[in-house]
Amino acid sequence: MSTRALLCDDDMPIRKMLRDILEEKGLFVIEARDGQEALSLLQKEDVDLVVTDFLMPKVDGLQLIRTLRATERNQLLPVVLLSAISRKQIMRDELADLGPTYYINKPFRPRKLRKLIEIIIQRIQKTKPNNPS
Amino acid sequence: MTLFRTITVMLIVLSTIPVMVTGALIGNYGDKPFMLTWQLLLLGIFGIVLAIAIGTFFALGITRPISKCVTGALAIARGNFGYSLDIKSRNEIGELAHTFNYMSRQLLYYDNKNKELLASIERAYLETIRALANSIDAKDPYTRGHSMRVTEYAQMLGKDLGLEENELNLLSFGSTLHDIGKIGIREEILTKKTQLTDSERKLMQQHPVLGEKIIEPVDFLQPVRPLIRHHHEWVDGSGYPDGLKGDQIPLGARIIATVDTYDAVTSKRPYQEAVTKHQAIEILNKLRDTQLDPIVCDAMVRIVKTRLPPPSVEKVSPDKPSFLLDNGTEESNSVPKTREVV
Repeated sequence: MSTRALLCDDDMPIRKMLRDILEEKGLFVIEARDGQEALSLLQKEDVDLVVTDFLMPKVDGLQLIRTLRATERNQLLPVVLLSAISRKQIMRDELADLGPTYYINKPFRPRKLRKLIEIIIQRIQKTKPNNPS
Repeated sequence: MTLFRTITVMLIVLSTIPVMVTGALIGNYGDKPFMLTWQLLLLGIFGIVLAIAIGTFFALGITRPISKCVTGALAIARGNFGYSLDIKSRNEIGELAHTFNYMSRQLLYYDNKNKELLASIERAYLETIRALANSIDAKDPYTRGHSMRVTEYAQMLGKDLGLEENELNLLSFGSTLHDIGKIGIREEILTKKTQLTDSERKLMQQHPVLGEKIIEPVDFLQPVRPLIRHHHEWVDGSGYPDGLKGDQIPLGARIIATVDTYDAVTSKRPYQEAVTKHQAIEILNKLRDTQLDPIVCDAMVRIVKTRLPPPSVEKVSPDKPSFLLDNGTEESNSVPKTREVV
């Protein structure tokens, strides 16, 4: 099975741009328009990677990460958090351990994201054969 | 972070250049150098350090309030209306902070207004439901106050069984409206003093189904429909209309069934006299496991024993919740054999 990524952003052009980058790296991409949609998709689908925006309607990126970490299966799921808000600001009141979360400041160079995605894919492929499923 | 860097670098560049230039001019003035090279170098370093210090100070002065604004904006986005920034600058950033705080207060005000509107809509719902319930009572004088009492007891029972706020709300709607279907039953049958014939009983047993049909078009009462339809089901499966058993019957319906039974036997009906609290408990215990859910029934018996006044007190003031009037400790001397119908 190919590596699957969940892409979550409320801005259509950015979603399209991110989808292009992810697909170029050979990922199968499913899209969500906000955190709530992402959470309901996560319940139905099995993904290996989540790429999400921070400022989204209904459920923001941080809440999304916090909620998905509550599920056993998603505790080690790599998440890429993209945001124009600095990491310091986002994490100001954050006490919970967010697990493997990568932060990229917006606006970003596509090269930076490509590199990060490559590293994550390598890690996923390293752990996958050990996984009986 | 970027703005901070820009401002610092800008100030350093702008302030070191003049220092260097003046230094160089002074240093090379005339034949005899006014300053030695190392002195010049020292002056330059001092200038740079000073520039960094001043630059940082100014940069922080600008970026700190801005990052406070970001924190505030995030707080408001998370629903923390009324969040106010503590910024004392008298420049445009101070202006921004001021308008931000104003916006925040206004949002809080609008939010409160919306909450008030919602509360008044909920009140309107409740009043509409009361009016509907009154229409049953108007048709059948023997059950007057029955819906109110059932609602009141059902709330106590629901709380005792640990229902949540919204479940209690639904239970309150359901218990107020549980007999609404009686509107569709002929008056002769409702008020008949003798035993009902088989065909009459069949008609009478239609009232939960009729009730469900009556509230069917009302959107916010959708979750209440099963409560009304199944409030005459027995846990052993011999009730009506669907013959559901045990857990198949919604908990709310089981609660209403228990409370309904208690209020029915402690009220005077065309076909029966009211019984005392003590007798009512006996009846409840007898119906436990056949008609009534054992857990709900036990909770009801507990409530009747400890918190409900003897049935007679209710007629003193039918408007007020009866459990507020009396502790109901002296049961034996205050219970009349029959209860007046107000």
